Amino acid sequence: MRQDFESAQNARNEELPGKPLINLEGVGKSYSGVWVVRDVSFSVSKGEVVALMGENGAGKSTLKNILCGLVSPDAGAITFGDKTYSRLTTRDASAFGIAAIHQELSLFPNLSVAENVHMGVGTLPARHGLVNGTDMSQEAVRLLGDFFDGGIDPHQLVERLSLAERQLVEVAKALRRASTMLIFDEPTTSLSLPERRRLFEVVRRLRTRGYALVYITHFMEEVYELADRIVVLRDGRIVGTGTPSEIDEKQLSNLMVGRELAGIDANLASSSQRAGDTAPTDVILRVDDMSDGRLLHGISFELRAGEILGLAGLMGAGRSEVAEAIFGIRPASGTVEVCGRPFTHRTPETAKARGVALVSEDRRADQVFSGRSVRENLTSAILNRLKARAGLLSLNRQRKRAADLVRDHGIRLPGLEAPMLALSGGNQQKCIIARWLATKPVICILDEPTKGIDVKAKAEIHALVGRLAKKGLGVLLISSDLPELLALSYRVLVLHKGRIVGELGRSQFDPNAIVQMASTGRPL
Amino acid sequence: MIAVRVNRSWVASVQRYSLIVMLVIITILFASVSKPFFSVSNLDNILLQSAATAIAAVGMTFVIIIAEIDISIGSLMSLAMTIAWMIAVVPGAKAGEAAAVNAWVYPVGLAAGLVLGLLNGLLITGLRINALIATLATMFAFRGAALKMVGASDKAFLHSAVMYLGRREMFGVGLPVYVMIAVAAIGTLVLGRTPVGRYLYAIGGSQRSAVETGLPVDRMRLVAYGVSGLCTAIAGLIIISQVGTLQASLGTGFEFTVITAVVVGGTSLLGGRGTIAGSILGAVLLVVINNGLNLINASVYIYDVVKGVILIAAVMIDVLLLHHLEE
Repeated sequence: MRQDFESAQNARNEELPGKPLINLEGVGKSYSGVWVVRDVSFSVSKGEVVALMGENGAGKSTLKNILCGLVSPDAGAITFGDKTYSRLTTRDASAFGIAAIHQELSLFPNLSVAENVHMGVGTLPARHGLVNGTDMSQEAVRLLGDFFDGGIDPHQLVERLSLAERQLVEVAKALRRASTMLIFDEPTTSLSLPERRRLFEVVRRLRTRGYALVYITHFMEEVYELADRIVVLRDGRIVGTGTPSEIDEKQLSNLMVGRELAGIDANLASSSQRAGDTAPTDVILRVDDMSDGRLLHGISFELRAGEILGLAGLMGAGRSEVAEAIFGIRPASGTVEVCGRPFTHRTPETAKARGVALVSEDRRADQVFSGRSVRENLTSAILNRLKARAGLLSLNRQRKRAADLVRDHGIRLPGLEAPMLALSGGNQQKCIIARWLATKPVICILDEPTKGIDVKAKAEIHALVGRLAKKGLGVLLISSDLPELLALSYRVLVLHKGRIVGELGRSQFDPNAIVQMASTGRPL
Repeated sequence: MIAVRVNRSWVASVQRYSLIVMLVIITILFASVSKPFFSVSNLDNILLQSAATAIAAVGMTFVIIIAEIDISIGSLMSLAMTIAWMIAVVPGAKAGEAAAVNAWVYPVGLAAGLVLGLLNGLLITGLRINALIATLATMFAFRGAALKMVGASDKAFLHSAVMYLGRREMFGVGLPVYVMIAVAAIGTLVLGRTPVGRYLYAIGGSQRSAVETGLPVDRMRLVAYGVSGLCTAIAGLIIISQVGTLQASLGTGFEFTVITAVVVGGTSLLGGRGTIAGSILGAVLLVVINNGLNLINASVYIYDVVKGVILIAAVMIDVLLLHHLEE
């Protein structure tokens, strides 16, 4: 059935070369009066890779969901083949052979790899109405083998897989379902470099096979490596389109942000440079021989007031675990001293009382109360200081404090009482940082503070980190973004399999040396 | 790495067989103190007594697998049987006398159970009401409707050649046991091998992923509640034919026995995990405990205490093993 449909499509396409497979005309979507996508028109042809670029909150994910039939637009028309629709349903999308690789992964942890790959209406291999396990496993192995060297057992439950393996299963699942069009939403976030290369290969091969491809990403180098055409979104509207040769990196970044950004990083780096050269001040955090028996082995270091100390290392090297052990989330042996006094029996509560703040990596899961208001999110760590008479909370003082924080940190929001989930990722992150700074910490641990947020918010957070150090806080910065880490840190510790394998001062900063130390565990 | 794998498979098999191990230990325990416990007639008796709970537990497993719950089944059973009785009753019997029912009692009873189950499903999917609240509401409403139809104090005596389901035997084994085996076999096949079953596990594993994958989520939820209603009606037919009377209080507290059986049987209330075989064993285990305590002349009040302890023990084993697995 689908085969017929596809060949009919092919025939039509040969008659009319360059005719788009899917065309969006004036598509818009609004939530309670706010347009998140407005007047968007673009098309994707067979054998073409269209890169969808934009900051977080620009409307990329909404567009993806409209194309998959998960969100119905309030305006505009979608033409697929010869027919025009005001909206697609998920059934339409799967009948047309449209599938997506979702950033959040659309997997079922309780089912096997093979079942995950095939899950869907009409995609489970069945004989006489019964699901056939053998067919399912064989086909899953073939699909995974297409772009990945074995290693994933099709009978394995997905909950036992690493994040990278899950991402590969998500790709295989989308490949199983797609016959005409595939949407990639940030597909490389948890992949290693060789796996990324493989994925790029898959994208190119699908293009040759005549698939229409939409590629959503933050990484500019991926766009220039893969895209035939770039569509840039800002605030739900298209602000620029063109081929990679027409738009260079600087123009692209300007289009996304809407203003010049150049120079901020350079300024920061030079101020960090100056600060890093000044005489050392008091040690405010001393960690000595910290181990947890599994992931951390004999970690010792010192953090000084007014210093930004970077922690470099590969995924799984133990960087977040160091932060968790200091903050009392992860039990560990060894001693920790805060401001010269030993800090024993560590729990997040006592850590907060001693002036330690942790902005953890997984913002959504660990820190945001997404259904609650911005006001509540901002003041949740300092409620005991906002009491009025008889120990009751004062709404006025909460509002005032929250409004101050919003102003101080340049948070953009619809209103103090808006739920947290109405904010973009960057603004959510600024809220979380603001919440912790409101506790007046002396040590601030930032774990991947700019992960998954847009260029503009990233620059603002960079500036904020610099200001914190100037104010005399000790900042422990964990980041996989090496340029970011090197621009901000005064000193960098390199971790490898739970051990500190190197320390570099500012004058010794060399990305290649750090990458080599982090991956081999040996200094150059 | 290899050590970890061995460890994991060991844990997985303990998890899989923990219930059987528990059942065997308890059986040995009772057999050692009470001679008649391990007799053929008593074991047959245990299966016969488990049948109704086990059959309803099959339906409940469908619901709990998708991470939802149906606490209306006790009342649903009462209302479905009342409707069946009213339609199938042969008029002419005087008050207090046994009334005969014709063979329509079976199809009408099953249809009523299915429809009431689907009604639960429609409330939950159509009006977007939380499953616990929706079935709490129908628990009251179904019971009230049954009371209105039968009358609170009235007892309908059923006397009929067709109401033999609960009393006849085949090859020395009661008919309900065969029905239980058939329902369990069909349930296992549907959950384990059909696309519908895989969808249900998928929805229980991650409803968001199920929506993004384009699975017919709401239709599958309807199926689960429909199956639950249908299985409850089968259980109801067995019970009224065993007891020989119909009262509006039929099935009071039944839902909690059934949910206990399913949870003891290893189905996770978080959804996505569980088997029909486990639920059946859970139901049997509960009856074994009742039966054994009865034979050793334990106080009746102890029964429920033991039931509660078993429930907590079963959940603890699950939690501990899962914790071990994550390590």
